[in-house]
Amino acid sequence: MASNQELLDGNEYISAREEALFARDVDGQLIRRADASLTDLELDVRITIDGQAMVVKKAVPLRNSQGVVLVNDRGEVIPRPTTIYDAVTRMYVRSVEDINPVPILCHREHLQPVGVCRVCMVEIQEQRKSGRVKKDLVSACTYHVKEGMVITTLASQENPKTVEVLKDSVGVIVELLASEHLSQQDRENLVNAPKRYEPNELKKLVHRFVPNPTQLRYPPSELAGKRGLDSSSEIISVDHDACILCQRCTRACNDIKHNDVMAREGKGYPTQIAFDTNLPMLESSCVSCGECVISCPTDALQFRPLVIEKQIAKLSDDLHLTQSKSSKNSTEVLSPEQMLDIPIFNGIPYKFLQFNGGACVRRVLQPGDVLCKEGEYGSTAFLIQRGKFEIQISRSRSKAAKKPTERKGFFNRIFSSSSTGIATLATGSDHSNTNQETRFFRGPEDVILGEMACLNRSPRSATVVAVEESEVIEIGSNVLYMLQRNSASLKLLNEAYRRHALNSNLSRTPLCRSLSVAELDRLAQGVELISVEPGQPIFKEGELGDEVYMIRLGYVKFSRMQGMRDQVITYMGPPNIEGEIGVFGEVAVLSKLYESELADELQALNFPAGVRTSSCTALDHVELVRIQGTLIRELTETNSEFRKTLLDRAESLLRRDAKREVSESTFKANFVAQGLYNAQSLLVLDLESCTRCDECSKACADAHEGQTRLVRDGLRFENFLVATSCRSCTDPYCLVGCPVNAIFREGDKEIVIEDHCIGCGQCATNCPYGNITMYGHQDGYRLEGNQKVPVVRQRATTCDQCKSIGGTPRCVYACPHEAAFRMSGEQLTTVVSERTTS
Amino acid sequence: MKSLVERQVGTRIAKMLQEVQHRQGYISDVDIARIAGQVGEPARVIQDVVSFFPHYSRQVPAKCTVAICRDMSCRLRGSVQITQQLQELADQVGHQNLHVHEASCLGRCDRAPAMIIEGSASDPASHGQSLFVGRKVDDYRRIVQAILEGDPPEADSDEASAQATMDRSEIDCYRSGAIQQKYAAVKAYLLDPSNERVIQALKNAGLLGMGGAGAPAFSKWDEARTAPGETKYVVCNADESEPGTFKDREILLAAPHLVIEGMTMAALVSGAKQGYIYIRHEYQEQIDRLEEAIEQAVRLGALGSNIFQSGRTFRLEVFISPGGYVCGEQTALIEALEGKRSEPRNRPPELQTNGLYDQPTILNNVETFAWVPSILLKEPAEVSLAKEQTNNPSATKQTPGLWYKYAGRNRSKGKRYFSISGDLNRPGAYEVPCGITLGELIDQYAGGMKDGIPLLAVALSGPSGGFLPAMLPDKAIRLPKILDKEGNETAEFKYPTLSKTPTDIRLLPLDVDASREIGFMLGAGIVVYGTTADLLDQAIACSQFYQRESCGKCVPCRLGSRKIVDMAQQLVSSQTDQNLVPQFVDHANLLSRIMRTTSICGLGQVASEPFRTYLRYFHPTNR
Repeated sequence: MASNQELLDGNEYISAREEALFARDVDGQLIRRADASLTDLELDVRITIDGQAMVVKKAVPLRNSQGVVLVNDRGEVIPRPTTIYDAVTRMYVRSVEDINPVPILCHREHLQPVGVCRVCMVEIQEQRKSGRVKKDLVSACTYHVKEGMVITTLASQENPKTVEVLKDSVGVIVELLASEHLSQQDRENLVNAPKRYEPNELKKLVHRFVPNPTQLRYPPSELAGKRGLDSSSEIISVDHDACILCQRCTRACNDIKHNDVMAREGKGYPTQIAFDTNLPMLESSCVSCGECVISCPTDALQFRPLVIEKQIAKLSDDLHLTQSKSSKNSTEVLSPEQMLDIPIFNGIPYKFLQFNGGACVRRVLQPGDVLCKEGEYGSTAFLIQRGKFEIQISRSRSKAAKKPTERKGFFNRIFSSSSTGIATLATGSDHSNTNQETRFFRGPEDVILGEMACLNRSPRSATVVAVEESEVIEIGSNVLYMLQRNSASLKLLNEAYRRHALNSNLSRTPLCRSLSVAELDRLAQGVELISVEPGQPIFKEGELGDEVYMIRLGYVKFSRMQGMRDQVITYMGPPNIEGEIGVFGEVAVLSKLYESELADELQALNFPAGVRTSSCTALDHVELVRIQGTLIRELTETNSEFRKTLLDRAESLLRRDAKREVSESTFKANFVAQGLYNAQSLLVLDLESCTRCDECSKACADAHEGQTRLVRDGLRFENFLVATSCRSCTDPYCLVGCPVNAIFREGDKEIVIEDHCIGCGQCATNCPYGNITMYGHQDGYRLEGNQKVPVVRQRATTCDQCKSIGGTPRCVYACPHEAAFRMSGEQLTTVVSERTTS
Repeated sequence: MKSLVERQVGTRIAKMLQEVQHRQGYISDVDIARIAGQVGEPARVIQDVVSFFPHYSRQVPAKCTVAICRDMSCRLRGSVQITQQLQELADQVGHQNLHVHEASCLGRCDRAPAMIIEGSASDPASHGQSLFVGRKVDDYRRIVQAILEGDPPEADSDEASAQATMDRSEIDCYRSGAIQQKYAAVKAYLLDPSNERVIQALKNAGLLGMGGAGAPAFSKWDEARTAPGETKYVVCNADESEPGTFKDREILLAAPHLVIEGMTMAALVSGAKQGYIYIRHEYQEQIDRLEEAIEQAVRLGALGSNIFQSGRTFRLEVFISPGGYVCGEQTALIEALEGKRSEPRNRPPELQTNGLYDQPTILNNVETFAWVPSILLKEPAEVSLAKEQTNNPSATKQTPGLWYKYAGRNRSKGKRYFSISGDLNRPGAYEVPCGITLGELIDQYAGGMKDGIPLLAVALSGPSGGFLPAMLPDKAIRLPKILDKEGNETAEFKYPTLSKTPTDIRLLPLDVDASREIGFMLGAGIVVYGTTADLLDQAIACSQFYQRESCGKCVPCRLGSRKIVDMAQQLVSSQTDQNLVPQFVDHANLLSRIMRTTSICGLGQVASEPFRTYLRYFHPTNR
């Protein structure tokens, strides 16, 4: 401990009454804080951390809770100012194992910093124009880096006195929190190091900074241990004693999930977190999404054991059923502790893994066991632990996805498919091309398998077979999303995604068919993966363009200016079940490349080479592979067959663009606007024969415990009513963000919502067509004194594509006027255009 | 990011809540839901605010609610016994009829003890306030009893005190002149709208912020003037809540037009079109007077749209604080004005660039604004002008600000108000030249020590600077010397009264710059204790004051202030083994240092000072 008297009398640090350091620019002008600008992303700021000079950018890209860089509607990255914490992290934290010398409690990188816990204090120095040096202790999470800032952290070698001051600060603050918000028992246990996966971040800090947690200099005060418990909710328990008021839960609830439930009650020492107008959690508008629990750094918010046990028991039952079918396979539900022993899970909140109890399964496969089959839907991914897998992709698929015959839960599909038999093993080279199939191998260095289907909600793009005894961890999409939130695991994943996406995408495009393996590799090296958010332009009509795009995920639309109006011409989607990959943007590139060969055509069409013929805009979250034109040109120089393929394609595209009818545009525009391109199974009512008798709704209600899952109302497409009923989207938005993985796709169409739905309404909010409804149902009783009070829970329901006689859904079967049909968006266009022509 | 208009909903929320609280005496869940619906915000936004402010009640209030000031001077004058007596009365008559609670300083330290009563037994619909001050200890019970019996005695007023204070002051350059003569500075500016001239005048005068920080007023004005923003604001901090401080109360009541004129000048110079006077709700008379004065000014044409036909606009509103000492912290005040929890912001940015609704804002204390008209209008005395001309030959009688510059003593500039109370013959608010000594203030203005008792301790900045002993020991302060041109120390002491240690505290010069250099804290509220005072009791009470007033945003203040109270109470209950006292003092000092260096705002930084200085200067084992 540094001498108190010396420091107090020395008054080393500026007081709150003085102006903060670095409040002014070099000219002495007070800086108005404004949103960071795009140029700030490029602007260098020279700072010194612990004696080492460092250059950081003035701003860094804003990321969401998933670690994904956010962009605005102009497609630009959104900058946020670089903080001292960002800079220190960059200097000291290179791998998951590195310890950040700046501890944090109230801060998380995806939350707006509030700087309330004050454990992240660092010393900063500013040299004033007069030559005088001013010092201050500041919170690293809120303070922005400024040119010439000299920062000292706990890791400083050269400034032991400041290190002492910082140690004292964090030591006392952590001790105050420990005294108030840890129990006597907790503190006694902390004589030993906490478990590595200890979810309570406060305990970890106490162990790191308080030498003797049982002998407190500042004993517990009045309210310690008396703040009370809110156990009204069946899912989440609130222990106000453990709450350190870091505001992570309130920000998670209000800023991240926009549920707007959490607040605070009171002021000062007795303050507590509150729900709505300080109601018990159960009576509040809380939907138990769990985000607050996952965000909580202490034991204040926790999942109640019952919920987790229920979930694990259910999964274990499922496993037990399938395990008996195939005794050679070993499968095991992983506990959160076991998961945290696997390096890639480092940094995933323990409580998240708890909440998703059973979301990870360890599977050991024998040679010849099938991990997943091409064309099947699957909402899980596989982290490869050891062994080797063969990936088989068929070049042309004539048959659509094989539908599984039965279902018994979330993981069922994989287990049943693994028991269906042994696939033929490929022999020979590492990357062999046969007539029907592309085959190659994957091992632990590839990190992950099956993530495309898991994230894109698309069918599996390959069949994967174990070649030797292998081990994978199978994870649900929730866990995968969470892995993407963590910057370290995200980096590993992104590299893997890149390789996988390119492998499966490039080799499957007709464009690349004439390329050799070496050339494909060269192409793969030079391409970029980009993400575009809904409504953002990818390119604009009339611009010069030198990039070709391939769609991995999502839909884009193409439009052209007709007078003053932007007319939709067509749209393009992700790889379909036949594996055809959408390529666009070639016209500009190819017309430039073959400018001389195609001179006549170009002139005839009055079309300048290298210019975009239409605008392309993202319709939803789109992921693209971008290939630079220069790369294509290089390849044409050495591969004449490739050159010829491209020239043919250029000619046909020019002819297509010249012919493209504008008259069909309004039709197409409606089609795109109503999202019909995405629909695989619309319930359409032919308004020419429908008498509005409502038999369809009645039949639906009869089949589903009296609750109808369809509403005979909706948008009209020409003379058809598109009723409010699940459309079985190719890319179902509803699957995104379910906190408990209760919603997934079964087979190729049906969206299933499992019984463990917690009724948070996320899927209903996500569905743009209002096809998921929330309804309350009674779920047992709870005791309130001596009174038995029924527990009412919300849950989500949607059309389950039920089957009636003849395999048609009940709504269609029930229609006495043959006015109800189930068809895809494409089929609907065909029907409509046939009707208009006839 | 929300737009400016969307963000301005906050002030509306605050006003709607105040309206409900005032009308029915409490705010129900239904009210919260209704207000949330009307402003289009979720209920949690309203919950956050309502639960933060003590003034908002969530339950049906007692017919009569009594607040007794528990701090500093009132405590010296027996507020503890009064509260005890009234609690007994409440037990007798029932708590649904009478609710008694201790309140933080009510700002009537000159006439301690102070009591404010809300509501009355005879008229349940009335939630108005009445003030009772300066009576004998036993009178308060009789007053409350009379009110409960439906026979309320006449309440006290601040009027006489305010008039007396103003009568002995120079700040009001208009004196008691007619309203038409006021606003001469505004009229002069509109004839010759030179912002530079006004800024230069404040610079010449050396006017400092009177809220405590003591930053030059001209730079705040100039920075807000040049800062880019969609719009700008001028805010007056009239939330005078520092225990021992009550001088703004006098200015607001006796010279409200000076404050309005000062704010109008700030608005004209900076380009602000909207202003707020943020005033504590316990200043009911002052609130009424201000609203009346604003109306007069608007009628005169000095406020509102088209000021004196110039086409310039400045609208001014009184904003009544929902309560709490922390609201006086300037960033916390802005948060409260935005209809949020009054929690101080992390700085930078400063308010001049990112203030109310993130717009450039001039925020000054009542007194700072009130000095502006006289600085702009008064001419310097011949002697002062001659002095100025030795350095600055171009100075004339018309050079504004010179009058104020030469009004101070020795090296100090200007005049200012001190509120002084405690064991004195004539406690009150006094306008004095900056740089006079504490001894002069005590003896020549405040009439000397009450009953001639010896001086024990002085609190020079309410509780914020802690307690200093009558004789300052070695190393308690610095004794700076005058520097020569090379920057070397000469033999001459910079503050002539201070030349040796230990130093008699009466010799300390009362000047913000000097206090910084010498190493003590100087505020606007000074409390003087005679040897009869129980200083440990005062230290505990002041520590409790901070603990109760802490907003709870940051950990060191929320928990540290509580631990300080625990430690102080432990000392009084003699649970501490005498051998362990040195260790105990070490722990207290360490905590004090951590609170000082890690808390977000000034409250947390000084919350441990009363106890720390008690241990350092007054605790028997440490003396």
